[in-house]
Amino acid sequence: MLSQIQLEKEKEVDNFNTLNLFLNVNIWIKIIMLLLIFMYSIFSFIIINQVRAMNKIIYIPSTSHMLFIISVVHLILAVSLFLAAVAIL
Amino acid sequence: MPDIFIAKKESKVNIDSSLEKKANHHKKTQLERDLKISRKVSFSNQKEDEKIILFLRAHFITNFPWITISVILVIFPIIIWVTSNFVNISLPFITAGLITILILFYYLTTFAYVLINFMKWFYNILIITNLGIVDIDYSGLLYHDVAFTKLNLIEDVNYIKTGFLRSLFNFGDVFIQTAGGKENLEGIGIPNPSGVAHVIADSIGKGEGSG
Repeated sequence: MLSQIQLEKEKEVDNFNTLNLFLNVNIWIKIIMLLLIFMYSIFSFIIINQVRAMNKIIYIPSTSHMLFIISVVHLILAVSLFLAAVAIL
Repeated sequence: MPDIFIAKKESKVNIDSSLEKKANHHKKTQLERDLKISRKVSFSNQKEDEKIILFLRAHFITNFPWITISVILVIFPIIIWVTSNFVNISLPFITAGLITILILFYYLTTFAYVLINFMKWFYNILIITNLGIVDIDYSGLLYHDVAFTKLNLIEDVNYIKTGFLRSLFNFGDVFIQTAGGKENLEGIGIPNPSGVAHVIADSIGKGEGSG
């Protein structure tokens, strides 16, 4: 009988902890930040595709290559930021 | 027996040189620079005998608004940091790690803003060849439009140069009307619009398939 009461109390504490975690601002900030940076990484991938598509339409020596390299560096930075956010936050 | 009528040879080849002469005639440094660039450039659907006469994009000064905004965006966090030293705000959920990630994310977005605006300027191109005109419009990440028109389909060309900045830096909009049904081509913020309009006007009705 006593152990049953103890179990119920533990369950209540567990529920409280889960609720507390759910209401924790830090967790929400972490989730929102990770989502934002993930979306941003997809966006930077779209930039690469656009640069590649435009370079097929018009090719300007050296500058076209440079722009493609910059967009690739941009994607690498975005992915690195996502990984850093996972580790730091 | 002497010939009464001797058909002239196709004038297609002469267009290139005549337009170059016309461009030289105007002796505008921007046009000369455009001619220099055009020799290295190639585009899709370019024919073997097709030579680029003018390669045009908006005047660099048209980038001034977004460059100014970018500079403000770069400086803004520094201003915030300086002012935050005088104001004591303590938010328990803002950690050092979060601030670092936020700042890095902010600067990465600013970088993307610069990159996209540069691409908008870089890929908005009007090309005049000895056979036709190619208008490449790039107005966003998800939209680009490419229009090809033969020289013999061009009906009219006009340019507009209004405003203080446009008069000061000599740039304006060039509009090219094509034969009915076809879309009209335009070059926005093109340097030396009068010179460009003259080069195009000189080539109206010429090119492949013209009588």
